Amino acid sequence: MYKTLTDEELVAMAVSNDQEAFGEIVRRWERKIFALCFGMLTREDEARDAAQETFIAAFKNLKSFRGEAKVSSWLHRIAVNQCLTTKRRNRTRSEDFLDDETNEAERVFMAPAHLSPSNVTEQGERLGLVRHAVGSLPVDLRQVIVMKEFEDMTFQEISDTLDVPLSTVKSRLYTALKQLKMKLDRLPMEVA
Amino acid sequence: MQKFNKTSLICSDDDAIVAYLYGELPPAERDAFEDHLLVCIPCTDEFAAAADSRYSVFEWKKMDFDPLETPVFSIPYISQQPSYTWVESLKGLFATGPRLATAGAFGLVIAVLGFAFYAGSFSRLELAAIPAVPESGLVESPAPVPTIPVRSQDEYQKPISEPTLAVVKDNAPKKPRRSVKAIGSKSTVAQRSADTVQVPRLNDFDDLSDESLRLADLVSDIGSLDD
Repeated sequence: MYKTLTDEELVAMAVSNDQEAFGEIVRRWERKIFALCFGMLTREDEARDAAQETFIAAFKNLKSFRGEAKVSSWLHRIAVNQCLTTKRRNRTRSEDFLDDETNEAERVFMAPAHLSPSNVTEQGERLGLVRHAVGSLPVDLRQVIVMKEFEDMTFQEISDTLDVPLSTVKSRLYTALKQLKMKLDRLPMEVA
Repeated sequence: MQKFNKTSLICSDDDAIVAYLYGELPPAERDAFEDHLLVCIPCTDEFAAAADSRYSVFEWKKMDFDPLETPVFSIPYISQQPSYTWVESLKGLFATGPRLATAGAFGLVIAVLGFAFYAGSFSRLELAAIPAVPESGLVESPAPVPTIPVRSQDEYQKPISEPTLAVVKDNAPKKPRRSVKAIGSKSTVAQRSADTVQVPRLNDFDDLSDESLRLADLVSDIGSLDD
């Protein structure tokens, strides 16, 4: 029954204390919101917590959803705000160095078995650079590239979600890829 | 912005590079863009740089994110019914509308004034219900007034010659006796007004000469009663 309903209809039912309706919203968007949080935060545990907080915040603010925007836009805005809050919290803690070391170990452990140790090391270093480069992008650029790569959204969907023109989405993505390239070319020299 | 021109080297829309990169360019524009790339080295370099960045992000996603399972999110389904405290209820009462709040406050003032007026009227009615006290004095005294024996005027005016002391002879060791001083001289008694009722005080009389208050008489009276 719930699978045939639109997001907006599900939200209207959830406002009337229909928990199953909100559960269907969570099922529809959990992977995409988790991907967005992962792309924004570049860490699994933080992405999981941010996604959890996103859905809790959405549930608590169901009545504030007026239907002027799409449910996807509403959820994405909440998720991005949660990610930014997490980023600010991490910045104050200043644990980036230790976190990078932890992720390094996890990444090596998760590497495919067919790769040689040298390849694993090289690939791990490159992934660390990519993660760092994406994380250092401005929020609006990072958001677009994460929505495109991690959520597989079309330009039109991103435009609708962010409520910006289609050309703006494309130019932001182009700028993001360009800055990312510059950062990836420059970071190894900075690390060395 | 300029459109591509596959016959020239004029570069144009940067957005077309990402649109082509992600496969969202319409077929006609896609063919035109591919033809343009064959002849435009700057656009080819731009496209290669964008593709390299995209591949890096794609690789990172594939290695780090794709193996992850979607976590199970637990939503605390608390009741959406708001819980009001008494303060919030009071606020809500006055937030329903300024006119209603004004009318409520006015009604409250009227109620308080009315209660005060009613209370004042009731207290006046209670006072009016109490019978007035006659000006002539008390109507009657139900309790008997104790009568005090009053001596005659002559007895008061009779001069006292000298105090008489009763001497008791006994073998008990002698104690220093308190001197008894005669009071109630003639001049003092004469000053008393004739129409005033004089209540004798015990200290004004010599207990030896005042027979009306002697204990021996009382004892004898009790003895006579017993007989």
